[in-house]
Amino acid sequence: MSKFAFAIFIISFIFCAVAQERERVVVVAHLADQPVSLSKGEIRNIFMGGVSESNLTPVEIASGSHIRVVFNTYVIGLPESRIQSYWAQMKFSGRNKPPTSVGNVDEMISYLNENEASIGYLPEGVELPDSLTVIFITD
Amino acid sequence: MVSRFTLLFIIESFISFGATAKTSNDLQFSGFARLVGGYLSTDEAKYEGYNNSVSFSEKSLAALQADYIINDYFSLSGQLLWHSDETRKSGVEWLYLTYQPNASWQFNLGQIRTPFLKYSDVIDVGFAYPWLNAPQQLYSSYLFSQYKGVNARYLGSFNEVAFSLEAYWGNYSDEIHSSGTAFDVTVDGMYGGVVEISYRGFQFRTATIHANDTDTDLTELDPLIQGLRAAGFPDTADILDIDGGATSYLFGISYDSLNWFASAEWMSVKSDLDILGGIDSFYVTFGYYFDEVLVHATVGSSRQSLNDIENPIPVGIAPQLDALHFAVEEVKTYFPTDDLDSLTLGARWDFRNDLALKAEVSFLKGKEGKTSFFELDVIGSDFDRRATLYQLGLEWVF
Repeated sequence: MSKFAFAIFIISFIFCAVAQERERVVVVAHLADQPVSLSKGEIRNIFMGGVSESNLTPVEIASGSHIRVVFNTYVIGLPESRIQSYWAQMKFSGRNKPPTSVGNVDEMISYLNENEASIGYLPEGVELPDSLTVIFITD
Repeated sequence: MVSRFTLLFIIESFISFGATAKTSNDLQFSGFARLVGGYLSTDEAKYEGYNNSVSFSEKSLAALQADYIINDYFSLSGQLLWHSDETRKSGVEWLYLTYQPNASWQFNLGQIRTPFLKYSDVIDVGFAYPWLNAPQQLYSSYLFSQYKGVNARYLGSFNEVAFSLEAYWGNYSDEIHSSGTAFDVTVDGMYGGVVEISYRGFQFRTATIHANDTDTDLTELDPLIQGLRAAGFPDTADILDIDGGATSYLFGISYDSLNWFASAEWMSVKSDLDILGGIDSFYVTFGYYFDEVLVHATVGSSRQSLNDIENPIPVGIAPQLDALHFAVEEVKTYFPTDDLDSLTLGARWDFRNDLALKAEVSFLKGKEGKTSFFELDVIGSDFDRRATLYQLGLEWVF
């Protein structure tokens, strides 16, 4: 194997390894009746305080949680500091309030299970109760 | 000037309150505070109240907000603000009733801050924006910052496009400070609207304010105005007797991403008031995130084109006319002619979710012969309208 081919192999391996390690988030909802299909952009709008035809109410996990960071990175597309300053602007201008916040993944599952028409996010692979439907999975 | 000890005591009291604030389902307390120190490189003028000694009394403030949920549709919000700047009133900043029949519609009634620029209704909440000193060319205080009246807001979406429409109407009455001069200004029937459209990281924003019946009370000028009328110069008297209308338009665009953002706003003011007409201002800002640290650069500019007040009074004919001529000339120097270019470099470190430390340097380049947002210590000084403003601050929300 030439040095060039070896270098390509190593670089490819590193990229594959990084891709393998990237965590995935599932966006789940407690749907009232009809199935709902939402794009990443529509989910972003819901979690940034916009209204949606789906009428789903967003629920977030409190800051400091790893899965929150992953969700903000791959779905919202903003750093935590920008999200905090955005909600300060919305709150103190009287325009909007941040989503209901829960403490951890278990509380998220419990909250979504108990509240119809709610939407939240969880790490991929978490066992879901029958009431919850996966709406979106990050790449 | 408020002593630093008083300032620290008040902010510390708010912090203590914030730490122990109780929240019930019906009544919620929140608030914000900022401690900002600044220093201006020149001793020939002030800018934003700063001179060439370190001051914490220009931008520091603290506020407490209470939101009371009356029922599923109605809530009441009030905000008490304490400001260290003597030209800003402390007291009730907001007080309004909200009616929200559903997620899309919101109606407010009461004392409300005017939603014109991207951050104008949260200009006291420094945590909400990147700078310590928002671009002065647009965010200066003489554009009707709040009103008593009503507004209606509609939120909607179409696939990935989210939008909001807002319209408002009300009356404005306040003391406005500009370039060291204070004016009592009242506006009857001020109205305007805001349209915001968001698509992924992009946001487009346009807004307008119409203040057609503006009345400015400059009582110090009454003897001069009467003298001009008596001497046969009614047109000049009318210019100084500031009553008329003003209309402002705003266009803004921004893009936010995980690593960087860019934002720009352009504002135009048209007015039949000679001292206000023809203002065009803009800023462009770019920021990059290094983890919790944001570094940003902003270029700002303003031009005021229609404020050349003609002085038709001849000199050398009679001592009384000479006195009138020079009185008009002196008054002209007090009216704002705010041509200013600026470059601001800053950093913001969000070391906690509710606390941010900011540092900022603004290079200011005005025009000789114009006020350029400076407050001159000596009228007619040969100050070249160039200075550097250094600021350091702490922003907090709870």
